Amino acid sequence: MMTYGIPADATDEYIRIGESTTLESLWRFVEAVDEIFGEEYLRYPNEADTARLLAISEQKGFLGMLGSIDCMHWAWKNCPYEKQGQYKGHVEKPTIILEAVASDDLWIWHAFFGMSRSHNDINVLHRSPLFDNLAEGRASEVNFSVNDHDYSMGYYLADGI
Amino acid sequence: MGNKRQYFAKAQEAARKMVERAFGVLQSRYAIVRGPGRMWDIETLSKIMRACVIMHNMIVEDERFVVDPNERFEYGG
Repeated sequence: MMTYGIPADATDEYIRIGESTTLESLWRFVEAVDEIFGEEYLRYPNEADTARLLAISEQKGFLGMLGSIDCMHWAWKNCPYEKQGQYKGHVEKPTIILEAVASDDLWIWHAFFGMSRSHNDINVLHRSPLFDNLAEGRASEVNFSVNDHDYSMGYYLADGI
Repeated sequence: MGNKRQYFAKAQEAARKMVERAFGVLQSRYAIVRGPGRMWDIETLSKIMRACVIMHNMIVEDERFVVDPNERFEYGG
């Protein structure tokens, strides 16, 4: 289901697994993946990660950049009717937004999912926990200077938000 | 547009295309996030998305030293 995107009721004809069993297994699978590996594979960049990210971005000419941030929309076909007003924006279909930060090697450092289409990228950023670590002083230290200005925080490259 | 801006725009595009690519790669690996979401509640969808991102990162880690960075991912699973 995850790799081919087939609906749950397609599995009964194809591999003889009932629809409800399919959904139940999918739910258990994603829950387990999140629980067991979430901490490691969706971690906030630690010291070593930060150093590597900074080295990469320095090569690209963006000193102090920790990654690029962007939002993507996932269409929600079965959005309940009462929520459709919220999840639709200026376009037809309801969608849910995924805000993500990715680095050069396509590693996704931050994934914030669940805002409705009626938000724009700035509203999403306001709600996102992306800068929580920074605000609470848990972020790895980043120091760099450009044109004799010293900066003590990293940043994410954005476009058009 | 001045040279300064042109240079910045070029560098910015080059750096930013990675996040766009990350979405593309994610969607080509997991067709479930390419097509419309069929579940009824947002918790399920959000768990699915998280699981996809986690597994995507596992693949990235696994292939970090092997894969040609210019490899093309095709839409279409």
